[in-house]
Amino acid sequence: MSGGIARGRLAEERKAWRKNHPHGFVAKPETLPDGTVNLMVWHCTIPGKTGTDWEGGFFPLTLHFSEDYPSKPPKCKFPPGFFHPNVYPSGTVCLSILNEDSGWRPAITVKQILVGIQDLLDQPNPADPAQTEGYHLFIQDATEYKKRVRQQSRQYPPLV
Amino acid sequence: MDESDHRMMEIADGGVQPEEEISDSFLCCVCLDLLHKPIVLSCGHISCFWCVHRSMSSERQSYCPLCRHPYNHFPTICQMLHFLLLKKYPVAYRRRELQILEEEKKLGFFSPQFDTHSSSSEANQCSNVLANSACRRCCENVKKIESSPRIENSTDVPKEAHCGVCEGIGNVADEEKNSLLNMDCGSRIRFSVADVLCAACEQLLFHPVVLNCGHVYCESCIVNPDEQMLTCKVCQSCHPSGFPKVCLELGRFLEEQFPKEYALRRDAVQFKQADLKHENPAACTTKDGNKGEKLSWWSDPNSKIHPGCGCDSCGMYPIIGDRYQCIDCTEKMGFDLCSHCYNTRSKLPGRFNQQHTPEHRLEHVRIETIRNQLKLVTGRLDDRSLALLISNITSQASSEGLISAALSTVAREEAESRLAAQAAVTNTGDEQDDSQPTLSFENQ
Amino acid sequence: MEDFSEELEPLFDYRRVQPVNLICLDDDELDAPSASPPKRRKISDSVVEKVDEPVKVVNVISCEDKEEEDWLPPPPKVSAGAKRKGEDSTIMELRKKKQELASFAQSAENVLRSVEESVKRELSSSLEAVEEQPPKPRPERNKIVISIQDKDGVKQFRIYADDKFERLFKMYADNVKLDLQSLVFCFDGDKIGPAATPDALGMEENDIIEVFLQPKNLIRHLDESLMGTGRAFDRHLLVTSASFEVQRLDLEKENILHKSHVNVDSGPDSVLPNSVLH
Repeated sequence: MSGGIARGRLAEERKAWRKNHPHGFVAKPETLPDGTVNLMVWHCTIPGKTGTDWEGGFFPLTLHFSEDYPSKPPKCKFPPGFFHPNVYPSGTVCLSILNEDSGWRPAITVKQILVGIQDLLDQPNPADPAQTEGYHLFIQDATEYKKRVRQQSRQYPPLV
Repeated sequence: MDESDHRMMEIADGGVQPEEEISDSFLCCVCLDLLHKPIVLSCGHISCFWCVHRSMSSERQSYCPLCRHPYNHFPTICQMLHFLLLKKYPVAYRRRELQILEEEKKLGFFSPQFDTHSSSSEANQCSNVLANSACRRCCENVKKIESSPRIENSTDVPKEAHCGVCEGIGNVADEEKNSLLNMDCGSRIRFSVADVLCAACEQLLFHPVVLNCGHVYCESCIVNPDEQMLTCKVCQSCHPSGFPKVCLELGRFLEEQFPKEYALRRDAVQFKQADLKHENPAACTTKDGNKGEKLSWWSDPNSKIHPGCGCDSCGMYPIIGDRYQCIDCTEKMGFDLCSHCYNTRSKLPGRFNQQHTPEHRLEHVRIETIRNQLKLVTGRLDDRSLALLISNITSQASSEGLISAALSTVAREEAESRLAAQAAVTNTGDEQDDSQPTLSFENQ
Repeated sequence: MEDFSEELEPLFDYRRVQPVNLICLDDDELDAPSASPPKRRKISDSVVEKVDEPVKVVNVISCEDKEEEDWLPPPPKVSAGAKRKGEDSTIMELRKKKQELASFAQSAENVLRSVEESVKRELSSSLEAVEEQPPKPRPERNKIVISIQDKDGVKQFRIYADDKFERLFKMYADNVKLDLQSLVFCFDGDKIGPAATPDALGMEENDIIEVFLQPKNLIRHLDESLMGTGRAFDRHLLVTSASFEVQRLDLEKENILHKSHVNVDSGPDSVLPNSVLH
């Protein structure tokens, strides 16, 4: 029973991703120094949505899968200190669909996770704060919040 | 020419044989591969046998991997769907069969083996004779297949399974492999209505629902006026998970395969429903029924939970209440019954291809043996809170050799904390009730 | 609950991308003018066909054929020299033809010899290691279908797997009527150089290349972003120095939040220390 299907499922996910994924997104399993691929950690990029303050930013996100995936959700981390009301100072994203006890379902795919997080960027959930700075600015100082978001988007330019 | 050699290349890359393009409806949402030994949950969503089992929680209620609909019973494989898929995707299904058999051999846990050969040939016979209209003899045939015990391992496995599990298993595996290889590919797949009849009205399924036992009915053929637990007319086993919802994927498949017949059935059913003023109960009753069940189980402070142990008859997982363990079954999986199934003398074989027979002796599992389970749980659990809780308590208690005592406290604690949580949610509990368990916990 | 699942359903879309508008980048048309005279090509080809069946041989030959092109005296040169002398053109034509024929014969001979050699080599090696044979046979250069995706959609191209991307990119730029210089192509998040090939990048059938429009104000943008990172870096340092402190709190908070979710959403079925409820 504990002979998980994590790897098989992740291989299928990767296969599907290669053939079809939303524009601007990147999701690939990490390659170890010895050249082998580690399917349990994925390095991803989420583009900020066009027409929002997040536009122009390409935000690095790391997904850490456990052997219990897809029964348990992966841990999704932005770089530490990422500015967003629903991102913990450690970079961990707080999102209902990533919570095993509330919204997670094994049917949720990597693609849905990434698109879900892209949506979260511009639509933070004030009911679920995870960091003080982002949360306070978001509810108290809209202009400063906007400024900080734009600044951060510039901080993660596309690779050219 | 370009197109063709492109296809050739794809095949060469893909592996041994060209595989069928699998419709999205039949991709398992957990492993993202072709469904294998499909199970239909009471919310109507389909997943593989092992995918459902793996996504179930071993110590509490489980949720549908697709819609998070809660359930407590591990359903039986839907054989009808199994044979449909085998017919529709012979190559891909065979690949899955072999692949999963390999994994099972590695792990030492097995899914039920079906007698692929006889069943499919019999079904074929039926389909040949019976083109469209219902022929009595064939209906009876179909019924016989349906009503015969769902696992026909007695023919598959030699009796000496006792002398060594592995040997017995090896035999199963080989036979399975052979029967798979011998099965001819089938040039053009034809489905006949006889493959997809309702277990009650014996007509083409319309809005199919699948019960916990894996038998398929029309939604309109299931009536339980007294709001009691549904029982399957074929195998008499209970359907504990409320009123099942329509399996949309199967319904869609039927509509595609038999457009004319399906439309006719639709008219007939609608006519009948209009006549009976029968409202569609699928949506509402399910939730209520389930909630009631959940409440009674979890709020009972005396309920005993057996984490990681499921009932091999009704599928309750984990077993709550008394548990009876077979002392004659040699399989790694073991064989357990819940008290209800023990008392009703269920004669079904195990759900994991165990060679359990009614002659085997069953033993009541006393709560003391939970000492072993505790180790098992702490070793395997990933639920942080429970593992933490238990390990805390074990470290405290182990020095005094009080594990068993601690555990019963844990059980009560759990129940109480649940009560408290529930009270907090519903805002009906008073402060005193809330704080009491906390105190006792800290005093521990 | 129902609505929720309904809402998410369309996202499980693993349908394979069907070639919508397949553009064929065939070598035969484009290479024709630059390649060696078609006649000679034909001869060597026919020789090949005649000579042998082992498919691998063909491969060897096509290589050798190419080398030949390089070191054989190119016929046009001869004719140019002849014209300078001002001799009778028809005689020159004949002589040229003769030379050409001779060179054909020569090349054919070379080809034959090389084929013989390679067959011998092949045989001896295949006797030694039979296993080696199956993966080797490759009748022709592999072609693969590559999708190029911009924000409006996907276009598919069929190219040689060992061909440089340069050609594909030019083709694409022409196709969408944009300046090649303004386009950036990425595969799996890495920029693709014009000299790279699908093989070198380990690409598979139906893989997707992303194309981005390079912003015109690139330099300003970069500058700004550098400044941005500088500032952010300071902040980052601050953050990391405080992070040990924060981490602990963070974890606690995470836990508590996690728990409070649990309480709200699925209260009764999770086990938690009661203390966090208060």
